[in-house]
Amino acid sequence: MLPVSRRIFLYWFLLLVPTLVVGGGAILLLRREQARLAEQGAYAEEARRAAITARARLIAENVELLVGDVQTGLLDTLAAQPGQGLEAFLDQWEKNNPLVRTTFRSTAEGRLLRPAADAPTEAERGFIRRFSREFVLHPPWSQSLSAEHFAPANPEKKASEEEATARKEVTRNVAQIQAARRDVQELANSSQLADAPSLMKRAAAAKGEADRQEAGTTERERANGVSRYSSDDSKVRKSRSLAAPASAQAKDEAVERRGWRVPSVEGRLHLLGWVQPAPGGEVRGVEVELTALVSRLAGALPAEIGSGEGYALRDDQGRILHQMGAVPRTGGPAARVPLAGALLPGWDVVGYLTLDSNRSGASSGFFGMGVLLVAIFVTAILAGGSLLLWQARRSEEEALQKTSFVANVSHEFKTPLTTIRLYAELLEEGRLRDAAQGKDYLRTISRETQRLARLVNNALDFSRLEQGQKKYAHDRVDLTAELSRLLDTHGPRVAEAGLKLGRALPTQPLFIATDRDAVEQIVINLLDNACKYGADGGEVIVMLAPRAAGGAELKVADRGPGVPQAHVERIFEKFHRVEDALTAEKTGAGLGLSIARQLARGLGGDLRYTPRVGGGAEFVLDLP
Amino acid sequence: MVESQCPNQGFTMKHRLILTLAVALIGAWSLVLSAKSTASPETAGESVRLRVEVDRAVLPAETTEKAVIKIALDGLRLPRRETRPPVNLALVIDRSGSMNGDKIINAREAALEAVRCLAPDDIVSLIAYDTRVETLVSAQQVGDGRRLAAAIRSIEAGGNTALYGGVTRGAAEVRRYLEDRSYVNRVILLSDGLANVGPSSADELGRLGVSLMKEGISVTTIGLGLGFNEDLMTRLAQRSDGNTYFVEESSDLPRIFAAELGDVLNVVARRVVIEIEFPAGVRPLAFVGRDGVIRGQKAELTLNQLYGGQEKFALVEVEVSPCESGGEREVARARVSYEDANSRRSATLTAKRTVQFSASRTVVVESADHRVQADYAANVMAVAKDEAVTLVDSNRRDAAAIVIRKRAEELSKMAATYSNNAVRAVAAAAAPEADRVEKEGLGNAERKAYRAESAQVKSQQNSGLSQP
Repeated sequence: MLPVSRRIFLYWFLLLVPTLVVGGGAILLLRREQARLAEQGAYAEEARRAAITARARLIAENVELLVGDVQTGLLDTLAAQPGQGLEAFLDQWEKNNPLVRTTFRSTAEGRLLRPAADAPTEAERGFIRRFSREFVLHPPWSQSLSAEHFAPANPEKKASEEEATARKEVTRNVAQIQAARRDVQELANSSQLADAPSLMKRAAAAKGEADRQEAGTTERERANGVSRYSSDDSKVRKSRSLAAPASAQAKDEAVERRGWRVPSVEGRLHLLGWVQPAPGGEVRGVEVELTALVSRLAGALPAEIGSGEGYALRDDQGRILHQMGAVPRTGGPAARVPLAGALLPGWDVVGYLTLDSNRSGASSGFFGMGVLLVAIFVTAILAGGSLLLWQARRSEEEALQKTSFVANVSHEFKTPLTTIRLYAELLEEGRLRDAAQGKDYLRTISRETQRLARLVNNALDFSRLEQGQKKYAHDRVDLTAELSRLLDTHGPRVAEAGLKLGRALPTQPLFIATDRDAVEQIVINLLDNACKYGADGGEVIVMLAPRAAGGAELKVADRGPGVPQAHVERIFEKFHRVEDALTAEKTGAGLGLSIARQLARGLGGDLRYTPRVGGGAEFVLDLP
Repeated sequence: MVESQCPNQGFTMKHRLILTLAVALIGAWSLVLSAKSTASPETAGESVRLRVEVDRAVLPAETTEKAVIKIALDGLRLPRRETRPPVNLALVIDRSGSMNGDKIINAREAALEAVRCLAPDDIVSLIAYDTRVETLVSAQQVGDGRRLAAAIRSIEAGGNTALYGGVTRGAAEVRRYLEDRSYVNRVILLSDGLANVGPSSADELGRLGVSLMKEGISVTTIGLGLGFNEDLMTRLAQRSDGNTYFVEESSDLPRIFAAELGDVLNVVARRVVIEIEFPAGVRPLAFVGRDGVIRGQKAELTLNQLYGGQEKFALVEVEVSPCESGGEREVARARVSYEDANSRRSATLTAKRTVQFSASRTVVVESADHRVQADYAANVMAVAKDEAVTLVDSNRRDAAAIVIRKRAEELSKMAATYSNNAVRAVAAAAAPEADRVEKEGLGNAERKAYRAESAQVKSQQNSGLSQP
């Protein structure tokens, strides 16, 4: 390899190494970034899950507060009612309080006094059907002896109580933090933090809603059955109950028993509250209209939630009662907070987190895209480098060929010039034996001049072809006649080279539309080529035949050594010579065949080489 | 829609302005006059009229006879349109996937129509629900209605049907202004599908209706197309004393909304409690059509509201013990207490009814009140149809046909006895229906029509529009 090529390779290498290093480094960084993103995503998801759990707890707490308020309110109302006129009060209560489904009275033994056995309404008959047997068998009040809040004695109770306590702590913490946050926020005023204010607002809103509901409910409950439209009365009663001295209350509680029971009858939960004003005495109670209660619980759900979050309140059968945000049809919830078993067993608040389906795919997509970009970058640099290298090598080769061409052409020109000069000098000096010899000298000079002209023609043609300026005429030419004339003209020269010129031309004229001069140039070049390299074979044959598809096929065949296989295509390249050295036996610029082929293609045909059967070379010219 | 379909307020804002000016002038003038005359006391009592009617003024003597007592309440048309009580309305619109296309377009149009019918000081909230419930406009005064109109136009269909949540939210919005007792409270629910998120049984929604009625909120249900659960929709409406409509073509929606608004804008009395006391010797058997409560010699029925220009009534079947010919006896004493929607004062009306007894059949027949009998016939058939629907549901088409036929037979006998053509028509129409039910059962559209018709008859709903 030449030093120039080596240098080019070195440059390329200098390009390659840093490119690969940069590419590798980029991929490494991408991978780390991806890992970091995934980690961040996981953290964010975890944080969101935690937030959802906390919010679900808050909702559960709100629901419990609401239900608790309703329960307390209802039982307070019931307990405050004197025994006298109780029946009328219960009638009114049932009629006017949306939360009251049915009221009942029962003996301590569980015999129902109200609704009466011949109850006229469907609701009352339903109540009797559901509970009369149950009351006699297991009166709720006989099971709990001192509990303020009754709950069925089962192992779940303790667990749920613990749960409730834990939850209370959580909410208390949240409230505490929120209070502190509120102070800070008031100081900062306008500086809105990302999630904190909305969370707080939400919580506050939920709390407010709860409070509002609570106030509304208790006020209604304390209306003590008097229609809620007569609000004056309700206020009086309310203030009275609030003003009641603590000692009196304590005294009341010492004798009064109350509780709640949540039996599941006919596959549905029923919320039963009871009050026993005196031990062993008559029991009064209420069944809460669960549908109405549930409709109020919608207020416990947050009004605004983050995207992708969803919350639902579900009953014991897993049916969604209220939902907020995105609750997917399939897939488990991110958080599940059961309500206190004593309030509504089996009910829970669930929080869902819908991850962007393309979020997890995003980080790997990021990586893939990054790798793709790096690959494109590296490929582009390497391809560019290779292209430059190839171009440089080509230029280098061409430069070499041109140097060789100049040398060859000069050499080629020099030969006829030397001859011409020699004979011209002889004539000038008059060193002639006779006139015939002078004529002979002049013929030599003429022949060498023609040769020189052909060389110059070739050089000119080459230059034109190179610049793409060669123009072709499209005349109607009788190829047979034209070829005969040409061979007649060049016959002597071929003969001089020691070759027998054979011709196989059609008897009929063969007309095609082509450029006469170009064809002539091609044939001359082929004959020159035969004279130069096939002289040893002793013959050159020019054959012409029409082609079946139209046009003509012209062959120039000799019996020379032929073209080595490795050079078959390259002989048509410019400046190429099989033996490329100034010292070579045969002279030439390596242009003849190249020009011939370019002309042939310029005419719309082609020039190709085939080894001649029986040895030698055969050039085939196809003309359209 | 070029022409406004508002039944009550065909006037534009410009007219309204002129009216307001006129009212102001009248107000000023009346102030001058008030020095001389105090507010006329009879205006408060005039919004409702109470009648107690019997199917026959003369009953056969010496026999235990069944009679039908009709307690009718006439809501008298409001004298001036601009003095109607303000309305607190929640529009709850289903925007689930099935509402796509013409349905949602017509629903939007209908809602816009409703808003156009309201006055600036009426309260409206707009709730749309699919899988989740969204309050598009929380309860607020209509004002110029632009914000509402924009919100209505933004409703697009897609998703599931959280019907329960929608009603609940609608009620919650109405509740915000519930304390102000001047409003007529109403939730209008439009749905074309089955409730599939949240409680979704007819029983649960019915109970929700009962509870809402206790608060003074009525729910009007508009079932669109053939996909909704008519039991649930009618139950919810009936239990909360709202209207119910079945609309097969969504293009009828604007008219239905206008008709509904006509009722809502025309409320003359609220919290109507009808108490009927029966003297000894008259034993109340059952309410026909309405869900009243009978306790001993007393019967009670509550209506959430009474509309101007409409008659609402309760029919009670009673058993009258024998009485000698020529005798006279009181059969019922009704007491109605209500709150006048306009003056917001409570009022009470009482009325009683006596019947005579005669041994002569002709006298008895001639004393028949054909209108009461016709109302009775229509309600009996409505109840029978409800029963038939239930029977067909449990795949007992023959039994359903028998029920209808039996009632039809009784009615035609009655029609023959008293030559009551209206009753005869009811009975005659029932016979082919019985045959059809026996042979083909009830198609989806038919079932819906049966339910809606039955509910409308039983609650004397004023809407010929919904007949499919």
